Amino acid sequence: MRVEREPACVLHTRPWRETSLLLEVLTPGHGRVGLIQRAARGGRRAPAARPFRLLRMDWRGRGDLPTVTQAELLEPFPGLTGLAAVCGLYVNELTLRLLPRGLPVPELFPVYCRSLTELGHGAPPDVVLRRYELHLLRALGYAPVLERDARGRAVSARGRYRYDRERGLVPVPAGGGGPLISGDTALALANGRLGNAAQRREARDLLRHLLDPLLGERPLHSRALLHRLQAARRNESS
Amino acid sequence: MAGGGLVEALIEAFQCLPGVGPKTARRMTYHLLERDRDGARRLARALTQAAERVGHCRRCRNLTESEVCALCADPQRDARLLCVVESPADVAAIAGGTAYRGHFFVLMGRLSPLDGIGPEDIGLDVLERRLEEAGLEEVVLATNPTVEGEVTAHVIAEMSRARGLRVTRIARGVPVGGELEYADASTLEEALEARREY
Ligand SMILES: [Zn+2]
Repeated sequence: MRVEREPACVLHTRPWRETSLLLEVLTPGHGRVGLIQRAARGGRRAPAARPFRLLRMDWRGRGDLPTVTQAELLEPFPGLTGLAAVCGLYVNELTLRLLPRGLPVPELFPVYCRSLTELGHGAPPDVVLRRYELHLLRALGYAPVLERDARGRAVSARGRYRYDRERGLVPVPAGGGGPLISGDTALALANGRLGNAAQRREARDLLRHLLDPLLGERPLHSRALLHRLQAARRNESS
Repeated sequence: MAGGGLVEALIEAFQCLPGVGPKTARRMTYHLLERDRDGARRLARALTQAAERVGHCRRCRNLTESEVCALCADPQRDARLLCVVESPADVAAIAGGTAYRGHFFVLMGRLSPLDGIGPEDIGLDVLERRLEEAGLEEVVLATNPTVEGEVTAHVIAEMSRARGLRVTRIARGVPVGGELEYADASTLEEALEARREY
C-alpha cells in the first residue's frame, strides 16, 4: 500500500525500537493510522511529529504499521498550552481509544482540526469537547437522535426527556432510563450552540452516558486530569 | 558464540544502556578486558554500590544515597525558590551551569495521560507537601517545551497558585522541541533569567 500527500494530525507518538517513532495519526481518507517514522538520516531532520501538529505525509508498506516516506509540516495548532493542552490531549486520547484503525473519517477530520484551533484560541473548552464527542460518536455509528423523540415526534424546546440508549429521547414522566435532558439542550447540542451552564452540564452527562459503555472499564487518564484541575479550581475559589 | 560464557554475558549486559547496541557493547567489553582491567573493577564497584544504596531524596526526589540530598541540605541555597524539572540531568545542567541558587524538585518524568503516566507517577503528592513548607515563595517551572512538559507545568502551576505562590516558567531560549539537558549553559542561563509569570 502506498499513500501520498495525506493530511495527518498527530495524536500520539512513542519511541519505537532504538531510534524510530511509532506515530498514531488521524487522517481524513484512512482514519486512524499507525505509522513508523524512522530516524532521519543525514543532517536534515524531518519536521518533528508531535501531538497538535497537522502534517502532510506519504507512507508505504504492508500490514499494520507502514513507514513514513515523506512528511511536511502544514500547520501547528497554536496556543495549545495550559488547560487547552490538557483538553487537546483528552480529544486525542478519546480518539485513540474509540476509533479503530482504518475507518475513513472524512467528516470527523475537519471537526478535529477545528476543535484544536478553537481550543488554542481560547474557546470555552467544554463546548468544543462536547461537539467533538458528538461527531466522534457519529463517525462510530452511535450518534444520538436529538431532534426527534422515541416516538418520532419533534423535540420540544420546553420538553423534559430522559435519554435511553436503546430508544432515544423519552418524554418525562413516561419513564425510561438514562440522564435527564431538556428539549432545548438536545436541540442546542444538535445545532452546535450549547449555551448556559445548565445546558453544558446536561450535554456532558448525556455524552458521557453514551461514551462510557464504549470506553469500558479502563479509565481515561486525561479526563481524570481535567477533573483534578476542576477540583483544584473549586477549592481555590471557595 | 565464539567467546561464550562471561565475555558474552558482559556484552549482553552492556546493552541495557540507552543507545548501546551489540556492536558498541562488544567494543566496550574488549576495551575493558584487554586494556583497562582496573577501570573495569572500578566500574563494577561503583555500579554495585550505586545500585544497592542510591534511592530518592525525601524532599526533592533526586537520586541520592542519603535521606536528604546535598542540594536540599545546603543552607546556602535560597529557600524561597523551587525549580521543578523532569530529570536529574536537568538538575545537573541548571545547578552546574547557571547562577540559579534555589532548590529543586525532580519529577522523574512528566505527565503523559496517553501513556498512562499520571500525577502519582511523577510524585505530585510529594510535591504537594513540599509546596506547604514555610519560606517558599516562587515555583520556577522548568519542564521541557514538549506537549507533555507543558501539561505538567500547567498542573503544577495550578497546585502552586492554590497555595498563593508566585509561579514562573523559564523562557524558551531552549530550542523548541528540544530537551533541557541538551541546551548549552548560556542558553539555560538566559532562559532562567528571562523566566516569566506563568
Ligand atoms: Zn533533595
